Amino acid sequence: MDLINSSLYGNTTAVSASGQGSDGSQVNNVNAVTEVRIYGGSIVANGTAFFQTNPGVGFANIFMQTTNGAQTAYTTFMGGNTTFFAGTGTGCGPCSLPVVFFSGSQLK
Amino acid sequence: MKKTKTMLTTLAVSVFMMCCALVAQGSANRTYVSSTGSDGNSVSDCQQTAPCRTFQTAIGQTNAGGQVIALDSTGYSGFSVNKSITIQGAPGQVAFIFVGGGFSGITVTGLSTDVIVLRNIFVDGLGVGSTTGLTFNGPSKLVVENCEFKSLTTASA
Repeated sequence: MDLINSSLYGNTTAVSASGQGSDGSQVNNVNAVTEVRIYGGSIVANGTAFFQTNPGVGFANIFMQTTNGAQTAYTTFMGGNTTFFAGTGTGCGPCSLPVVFFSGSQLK
Repeated sequence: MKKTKTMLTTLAVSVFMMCCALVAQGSANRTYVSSTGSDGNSVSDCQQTAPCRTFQTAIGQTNAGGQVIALDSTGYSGFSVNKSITIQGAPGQVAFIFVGGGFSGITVTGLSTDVIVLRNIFVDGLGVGSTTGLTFNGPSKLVVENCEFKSLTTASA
Protein backbone atom coordinates (compact mmCIF):
# COMPACT_ATOMS: atom_id res chain seq x y z
CA MET A 1 0.00 0.00 0.00
CA ASP A 2 1.29 3.44 -0.88
CA LEU A 3 0.24 6.26 1.43
CA ILE A 4 0.92 9.52 -0.43
CA ASN A 5 0.60 13.04 0.97
CA SER A 6 -1.93 11.86 3.51
CA SER A 7 -2.42 12.90 7.12
CA LEU A 8 -2.97 10.63 10.09
CA TYR A 9 -3.60 12.37 13.36
CA GLY A 10 -5.16 11.71 16.74
CA ASN A 11 -5.38 7.96 16.26
CA THR A 12 -4.56 5.31 18.84
CA THR A 13 -2.35 3.64 16.19
CA ALA A 14 -1.67 5.43 12.94
CA VAL A 15 -0.13 2.80 10.66
CA SER A 16 -0.33 -0.90 11.44
CA ALA A 17 1.06 -3.50 9.07
CA SER A 18 1.01 -7.28 9.41
CA GLY A 19 2.92 -9.92 7.52
CA GLN A 20 6.25 -10.56 5.82
CA GLY A 21 7.98 -7.30 4.90
CA SER A 22 11.05 -6.43 2.88
CA ASP A 23 14.73 -5.79 3.36
CA GLY A 24 14.87 -2.03 3.08
CA SER A 25 18.57 -2.10 2.25
CA GLN A 26 17.74 -3.71 -1.09
CA VAL A 27 16.78 -0.83 -3.35
CA ASN A 28 14.00 -1.69 -5.79
CA ASN A 29 12.97 -4.62 -3.69
CA VAL A 30 10.61 -3.00 -1.22
CA ASN A 31 7.48 -4.63 -2.50
CA ALA A 32 5.96 -7.14 -0.10
CA VAL A 33 2.24 -7.70 -0.45
CA THR A 34 0.89 -6.07 2.70
CA GLU A 35 3.61 -3.58 3.54
CA VAL A 36 2.98 0.15 3.79
CA ARG A 37 5.12 2.73 1.99
CA ILE A 38 4.76 6.36 3.01
CA TYR A 39 5.59 9.38 0.89
CA GLY A 40 5.03 12.89 2.25
CA GLY A 41 2.07 13.87 4.39
CA SER A 42 2.02 13.98 8.17
CA ILE A 43 1.73 11.61 11.11
CA VAL A 44 0.93 13.69 14.15
CA ALA A 45 -0.37 13.30 17.69
CA ASN A 46 -1.06 9.58 17.56
CA GLY A 47 -0.64 7.12 20.42
CA THR A 48 1.65 4.91 18.32
CA ALA A 49 2.81 6.11 14.93
CA PHE A 50 3.86 2.72 13.51
CA PHE A 51 3.08 -0.81 14.62
CA GLN A 52 4.56 -3.82 12.84
CA THR A 53 3.33 -7.39 13.26
CA ASN A 54 5.47 -10.31 12.03
CA PRO A 55 7.59 -8.35 9.54
CA GLY A 56 10.24 -11.10 9.46
CA VAL A 57 13.78 -11.20 10.82
CA GLY A 58 15.77 -8.24 9.48
CA PHE A 59 12.75 -7.02 7.56
CA ALA A 60 10.27 -4.20 8.01
CA ASN A 61 6.76 -3.87 6.68
CA ILE A 62 6.45 -0.10 7.08
CA PHE A 63 8.70 2.23 5.07
CA MET A 64 9.06 5.93 4.58
CA GLN A 65 10.52 6.99 1.28
CA THR A 66 12.79 9.98 1.61
CA THR A 67 13.96 10.36 -1.97
CA ASN A 68 12.99 9.14 -5.38
CA GLY A 69 15.38 7.90 -8.03
CA ALA A 70 16.31 11.47 -8.98
CA GLN A 71 17.04 12.24 -5.32
CA THR A 72 14.10 14.59 -4.99
CA ALA A 73 13.37 14.86 -1.29
CA TYR A 74 10.10 13.80 0.30
CA THR A 75 9.18 15.05 3.74
CA THR A 76 6.75 13.38 6.07
CA PHE A 77 6.09 15.59 9.06
CA MET A 78 6.06 13.67 12.32
CA GLY A 79 5.45 15.07 15.75
CA GLY A 80 3.58 14.59 18.98
CA ASN A 81 3.29 10.82 18.74
CA THR A 82 3.50 9.18 22.17
CA THR A 83 5.31 6.11 20.79
CA PHE A 84 7.25 6.30 17.56
CA PHE A 85 7.17 2.62 16.69
CA ALA A 86 6.42 -0.74 18.21
CA GLY A 87 5.68 -4.25 17.06
CA THR A 88 5.21 -7.89 17.85
CA GLY A 89 5.89 -11.34 16.42
CA THR A 90 8.57 -12.65 14.08
CA GLY A 91 11.31 -10.10 13.50
CA CYS A 92 10.27 -7.96 16.42
CA GLY A 93 12.36 -8.03 19.52
CA PRO A 94 12.79 -5.24 18.73
CA CYS A 95 11.48 -4.73 15.19
CA SER A 96 13.60 -3.13 12.52
CA LEU A 97 13.08 0.59 12.33
CA PRO A 98 10.23 1.36 9.97
CA VAL A 99 11.98 4.43 8.63
CA VAL A 100 14.20 3.40 5.76
CA PHE A 101 16.02 5.52 3.25
CA PHE A 102 15.49 4.05 -0.16
CA SER A 103 14.80 5.17 -3.67
CA GLY A 104 13.11 3.99 -6.81
CA SER A 105 11.10 1.25 -5.16
CA GLN A 106 8.70 -0.78 -7.23
CA LEU A 107 4.99 -0.41 -6.72
CA LYS A 108 3.60 -3.75 -5.68
CA MET B 1 -43.04 -33.12 -19.18
CA LYS B 2 -41.52 -33.10 -15.70
CA LYS B 3 -38.02 -33.23 -17.18
CA THR B 4 -38.79 -30.26 -19.44
CA LYS B 5 -40.12 -28.27 -16.48
CA THR B 6 -36.96 -29.00 -14.51
CA MET B 7 -34.79 -27.90 -17.43
CA LEU B 8 -36.75 -24.67 -17.83
CA THR B 9 -36.44 -23.96 -14.13
CA THR B 10 -32.68 -24.56 -14.27
CA LEU B 11 -32.41 -22.29 -17.31
CA ALA B 12 -34.39 -19.54 -15.58
CA VAL B 13 -32.20 -19.76 -12.48
CA SER B 14 -29.05 -19.63 -14.62
CA VAL B 15 -30.27 -16.55 -16.50
CA PHE B 16 -31.15 -14.86 -13.20
CA MET B 17 -27.71 -15.60 -11.76
CA MET B 18 -25.99 -14.28 -14.89
CA CYS B 19 -28.00 -11.06 -14.63
CA CYS B 20 -27.03 -10.69 -10.96
CA ALA B 21 -23.39 -11.25 -11.82
CA LEU B 22 -23.54 -8.58 -14.50
CA VAL B 23 -25.08 -6.08 -12.07
CA ALA B 24 -22.38 -6.82 -9.49
CA GLN B 25 -19.69 -6.12 -12.07
CA GLY B 26 -21.12 -2.66 -12.78
CA SER B 27 -22.04 -1.08 -16.05
CA ALA B 28 -20.54 2.43 -16.14
CA ASN B 29 -16.95 3.60 -16.38
CA ARG B 30 -17.61 6.68 -14.25
CA THR B 31 -20.21 7.08 -11.53
CA TYR B 32 -21.06 9.89 -9.10
CA VAL B 33 -22.31 10.40 -5.56
CA SER B 34 -23.54 13.60 -3.93
CA SER B 35 -25.22 14.91 -0.78
CA THR B 36 -28.51 15.22 -2.68
CA GLY B 37 -28.13 11.93 -4.53
CA SER B 38 -30.21 8.79 -4.13
CA ASP B 39 -29.17 5.18 -4.26
CA GLY B 40 -32.33 4.65 -6.26
CA ASN B 41 -30.42 6.26 -9.12
CA SER B 42 -28.40 3.08 -9.42
CA VAL B 43 -30.96 2.07 -12.06
CA SER B 44 -29.43 4.77 -14.26
CA ASP B 45 -25.83 3.95 -13.21
CA CYS B 46 -25.33 6.88 -10.81
CA GLN B 47 -24.76 9.39 -13.58
CA GLN B 48 -23.56 12.93 -12.90
CA THR B 49 -27.06 14.26 -13.52
CA ALA B 50 -28.58 11.60 -11.25
CA PRO B 51 -25.91 10.69 -8.69
CA CYS B 52 -26.18 8.05 -6.02
CA ARG B 53 -25.91 8.75 -2.31
CA THR B 54 -23.33 6.23 -1.11
CA PHE B 55 -19.99 5.03 -2.36
CA GLN B 56 -20.99 1.39 -1.93
CA THR B 57 -23.91 1.64 -4.32
CA ALA B 58 -21.89 3.58 -6.88
CA ILE B 59 -19.05 1.05 -6.69
CA GLY B 60 -21.53 -1.66 -7.59
CA GLN B 61 -22.48 0.26 -10.73
CA THR B 62 -18.91 0.93 -11.81
CA ASN B 63 -16.93 -1.20 -14.20
CA ALA B 64 -13.56 -2.53 -13.11
CA GLY B 65 -11.00 0.16 -13.92
CA GLY B 66 -13.58 2.92 -13.55
CA GLN B 67 -14.03 5.88 -11.21
CA VAL B 68 -16.44 6.94 -8.48
CA ILE B 69 -16.46 10.69 -7.87
CA ALA B 70 -17.99 12.52 -4.89
CA LEU B 71 -19.39 15.80 -6.19
CA ASP B 72 -19.61 17.67 -2.87
CA SER B 73 -18.46 17.57 0.74
CA THR B 74 -20.59 15.34 2.91
CA GLY B 75 -20.60 11.85 4.49
CA TYR B 76 -20.82 8.95 2.08
CA SER B 77 -20.72 5.94 4.46
CA GLY B 78 -18.08 3.25 4.54
CA PHE B 79 -17.47 0.81 1.75
CA SER B 80 -15.72 -2.35 0.65
CA VAL B 81 -14.01 -2.75 -2.68
CA ASN B 82 -12.65 -5.82 -4.45
CA LYS B 83 -11.85 -4.66 -7.97
CA SER B 84 -9.70 -2.11 -9.78
CA ILE B 85 -11.28 1.29 -9.22
CA THR B 86 -10.57 4.91 -8.26
CA ILE B 87 -12.71 6.44 -5.53
CA GLN B 88 -12.24 10.13 -4.91
CA GLY B 89 -13.65 13.42 -3.75
CA ALA B 90 -13.83 15.98 -6.55
CA PRO B 91 -11.16 18.70 -6.46
CA GLY B 92 -12.00 21.18 -3.72
CA GLN B 93 -14.45 18.78 -2.08
CA VAL B 94 -13.91 16.26 0.69
CA ALA B 95 -15.69 12.95 0.88
CA PHE B 96 -16.23 12.14 4.58
CA ILE B 97 -16.58 8.69 6.06
CA PHE B 98 -17.54 8.48 9.72
CA VAL B 99 -16.73 5.12 11.27
CA GLY B 100 -18.84 3.51 13.98
CA GLY B 101 -17.50 1.30 16.77
CA GLY B 102 -16.52 -2.19 15.64
CA PHE B 103 -16.39 -1.18 11.98
CA SER B 104 -13.84 -0.40 9.29
CA GLY B 105 -14.50 2.67 7.16
CA ILE B 106 -12.85 1.27 4.04
CA THR B 107 -12.02 -2.37 3.34
CA VAL B 108 -9.89 -3.31 0.35
CA THR B 109 -9.59 -6.89 -0.85
CA GLY B 110 -8.52 -7.15 -4.47
CA LEU B 111 -6.69 -9.54 -6.74
CA SER B 112 -2.96 -9.13 -7.29
CA THR B 113 -3.74 -7.66 -10.72
CA ASP B 114 -6.09 -5.01 -9.31
CA VAL B 115 -5.12 -1.38 -8.72
CA ILE B 116 -7.26 0.55 -6.26
CA VAL B 117 -6.85 4.30 -5.74
CA LEU B 118 -8.39 6.30 -2.89
CA ARG B 119 -8.04 10.08 -3.17
CA ASN B 120 -9.30 13.08 -1.24
CA ILE B 121 -11.22 11.09 1.35
CA PHE B 122 -11.50 12.02 5.05
CA VAL B 123 -12.06 9.14 7.47
CA ASP B 124 -13.03 10.03 11.04
CA GLY B 125 -13.58 7.66 13.97
CA LEU B 126 -14.83 10.51 16.19
CA GLY B 127 -12.85 8.99 19.05
CA VAL B 128 -15.14 5.96 19.26
CA GLY B 129 -13.47 2.69 20.34
CA SER B 130 -12.71 -0.24 18.00
CA THR B 131 -12.69 1.78 14.81
CA THR B 132 -10.44 1.12 11.82
CA GLY B 133 -10.10 3.66 9.06
CA LEU B 134 -8.68 1.49 6.31
CA THR B 135 -8.34 -2.28 6.26
CA PHE B 136 -6.11 -3.53 3.48
CA ASN B 137 -6.19 -7.28 2.98
CA GLY B 138 -4.03 -7.37 -0.15
CA PRO B 139 -2.82 -8.63 -2.50
CA SER B 140 -3.96 -5.83 -4.83
CA LYS B 141 -2.04 -2.60 -5.35
CA LEU B 142 -3.49 0.16 -3.19
CA VAL B 143 -2.67 3.86 -3.52
CA VAL B 144 -3.99 6.25 -0.88
CA GLU B 145 -3.44 9.88 -1.85
CA ASN B 146 -4.36 13.14 -0.13
CA CYS B 147 -6.52 11.37 2.43
CA GLU B 148 -6.92 12.02 6.15
CA PHE B 149 -7.45 9.53 8.96
CA LYS B 150 -8.41 11.00 12.29
CA SER B 151 -9.44 9.87 15.78
CA LEU B 152 -9.54 6.16 14.95
CA THR B 153 -8.39 3.20 17.02
CA THR B 154 -6.29 2.13 14.04
CA ALA B 155 -6.01 4.49 11.10
CA SER B 156 -4.55 2.07 8.57
CA ALA B 157 -4.11 -1.66 8.92
